[in-house]
Amino acid sequence: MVVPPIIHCDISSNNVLLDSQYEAHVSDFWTVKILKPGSHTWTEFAGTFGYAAPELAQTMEVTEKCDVFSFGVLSLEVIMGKHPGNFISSLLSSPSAKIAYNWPLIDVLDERPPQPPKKSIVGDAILVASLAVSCLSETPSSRPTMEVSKMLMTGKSPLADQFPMIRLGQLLYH
Amino acid sequence: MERELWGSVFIYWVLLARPLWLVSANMEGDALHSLRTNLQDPNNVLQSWDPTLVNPCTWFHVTCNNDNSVIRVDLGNAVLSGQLVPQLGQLKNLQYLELYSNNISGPIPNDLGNLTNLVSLDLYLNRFSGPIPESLGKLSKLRFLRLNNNSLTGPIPMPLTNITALQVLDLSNNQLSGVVPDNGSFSLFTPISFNNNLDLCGPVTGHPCPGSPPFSPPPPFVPPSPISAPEGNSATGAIAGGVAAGAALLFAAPAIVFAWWRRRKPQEFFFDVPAEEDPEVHLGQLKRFSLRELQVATDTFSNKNILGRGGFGKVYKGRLTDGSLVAVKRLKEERTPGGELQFQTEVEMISMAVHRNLLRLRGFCMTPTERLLVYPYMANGSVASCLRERPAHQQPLDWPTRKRIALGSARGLSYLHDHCDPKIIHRDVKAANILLDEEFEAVVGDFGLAKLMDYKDTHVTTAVRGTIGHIAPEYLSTGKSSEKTDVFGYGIMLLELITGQRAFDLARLANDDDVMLLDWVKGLLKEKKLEMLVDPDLHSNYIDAEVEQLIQVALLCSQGSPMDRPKMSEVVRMLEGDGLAERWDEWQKVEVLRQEVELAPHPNSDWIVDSTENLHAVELSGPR
Repeated sequence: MVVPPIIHCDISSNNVLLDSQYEAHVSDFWTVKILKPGSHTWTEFAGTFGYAAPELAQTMEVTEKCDVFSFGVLSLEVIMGKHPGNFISSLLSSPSAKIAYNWPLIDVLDERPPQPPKKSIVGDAILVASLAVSCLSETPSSRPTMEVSKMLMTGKSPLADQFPMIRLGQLLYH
Repeated sequence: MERELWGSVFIYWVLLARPLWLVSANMEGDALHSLRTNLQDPNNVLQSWDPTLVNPCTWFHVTCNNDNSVIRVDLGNAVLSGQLVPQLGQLKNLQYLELYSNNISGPIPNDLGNLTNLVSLDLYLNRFSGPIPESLGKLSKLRFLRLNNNSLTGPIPMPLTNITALQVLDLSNNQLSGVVPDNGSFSLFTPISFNNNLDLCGPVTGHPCPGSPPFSPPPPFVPPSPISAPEGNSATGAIAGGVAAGAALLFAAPAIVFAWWRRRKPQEFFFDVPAEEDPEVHLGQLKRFSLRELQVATDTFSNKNILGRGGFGKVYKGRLTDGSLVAVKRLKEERTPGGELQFQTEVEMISMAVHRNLLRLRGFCMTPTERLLVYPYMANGSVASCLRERPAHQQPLDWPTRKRIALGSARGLSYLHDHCDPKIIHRDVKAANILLDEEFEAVVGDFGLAKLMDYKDTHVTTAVRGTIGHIAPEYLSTGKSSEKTDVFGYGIMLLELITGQRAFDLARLANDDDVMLLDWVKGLLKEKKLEMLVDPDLHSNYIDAEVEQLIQVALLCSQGSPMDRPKMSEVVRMLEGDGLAERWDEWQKVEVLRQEVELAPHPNSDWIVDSTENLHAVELSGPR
């Protein structure tokens, strides 16, 4: 039996719960409503400000790419240690003003874990950041699918040796 | 023979009537032209005032009704100097005379008393001298009279008390003297309206008039008398210092007196003393209502009196004991943290936003379990209800009215952003929050409530705020609002005003063509297919060029990048006919470049495999 695709629509750090082994579990399915195709019942925004895809400002078509965007915000929040609102603001600015692409990755990472990080951790951080930046693309079709994201997370990054010099914009071309 | 004679009479009558109509239109143009010749205009604001045109309705800063008669003159902040002319009294249908914040001097002409349709007379922040004309008492429809910050002398004319419609009066910062009336419409006004004059007296000033017996002890919240100006040859520095100190004292004194009075007042327990009438307390123009009074007004918040439901609570229609109609907003109980003092401080902040295009807060009610706000009742509901829930007997909004709504709502939002201190971001700009008074003037409602509900700006929240289709993209993705999120909401509201449809339904139409909403609108504008956008209820009774301009403003306001959107003050100027063409051309060039960039191959395209493109997704959603 094929289960139809489900779009969560409210991925945020509040809705990802952690068990005793720090395994992540997506929650908040029990409040969902199934909308019939073509219905006009959904006129209130029901996601979380700060995690919703920008194209929802002018389209009623909710796709899985909305969840991918929210996942990108969540991923960046995990490695930054705070909500990445400023970074997203910069991404959504005019092309000439995407100053966040020049930010060094080392400045973006949460500074609270003990320093200096091991090379393997650096590699993982680069993978997460690379994935997050791609998920936050303004154009929905430019975002990866969750399947692609899953595969990327198990790979290795050849950029680890250049960690101090890496800027976020470079990660788009990984 | 008789039939022939009757026909001749008819033809003669028509010929006679037409010249009269032309003469009437020219008379108003001539009157305004007299004003132009009497003013110095260094910024060429009046350059378009061409007396050779058939009427003044195409002049900038002049607004006419459907009969080509002048109803508005908007010349605030225009760097004009010189004097007014009595011919202004010939503008019989004038409703708004806005000349504030200029350098106009000389007397206020007596002939302004002939403007019997005048709603707003704003001459504040000028250099007018001489007396306030007694003839202004004939302006029976006047609601806003602001003559503050001039050099007016003499007494306050007693006939002003006859203007029953008067809601806002400001005569402060002049050189007036004599008795301040406290009867008629003046019974509503407080010392704020009369501060900082030469020698005013009377109960409202706290200063007894010479020769009259001392009145009963003043109410505790009345401030001390205003500072009288020093005589003749006092040093300028001393005057400035005295004025500054006096102003500081005047601002502080009411708060001090009120705090003292509140401390003396017993703790209020509504249920213990059901029959007791709360004393009337006025904070500035704001009244504190008792819960019982509002329960009586709304028939104990009866469901049949519900005007609407919003994110902040339900709104009820009510009638106060003085007969006036109000809208009572009952804030949701679980959303009102914080103490009484905090709520009251924020209510006072909202009540300071006074503008003809903003919904005026009349009062509030606080109990341990209730927080209510009292607003004037808006006879014509909201733009949303007029467009989509119109009863059969009510005419649809015509095009000139829609244009006026666009301009009025822009002015209200611009005031919130640029003149309120601290600035107020509305956060929920949409057709349902643009109310319409009995004259279909736009009145922006529901502003300032986000702060009142204690939503923290700096924290991402799961609360539902805003309506799908009206939320700016950066607000969705970052959780941060600014005045530019209001501009986005305004742009979408303009599209609703033009099309008559909800943003939600517009987005569905666009989706049928497989494009985003704003790209869809852009395409129709480019192809000149206005009829596909304009509300069918207008029955083609609109001017193509004006529709195009309004759509251009809407598109400029709803750009994806906040930095690219105009400010609301710039929107006001564009709607008044200044600067839209240049802004639009500039944007067109940028758009061409943007499209070229978007056509380039995307660097991510190689490794992205979108395997779910054609699958039908079940949409799930729900508040947290």
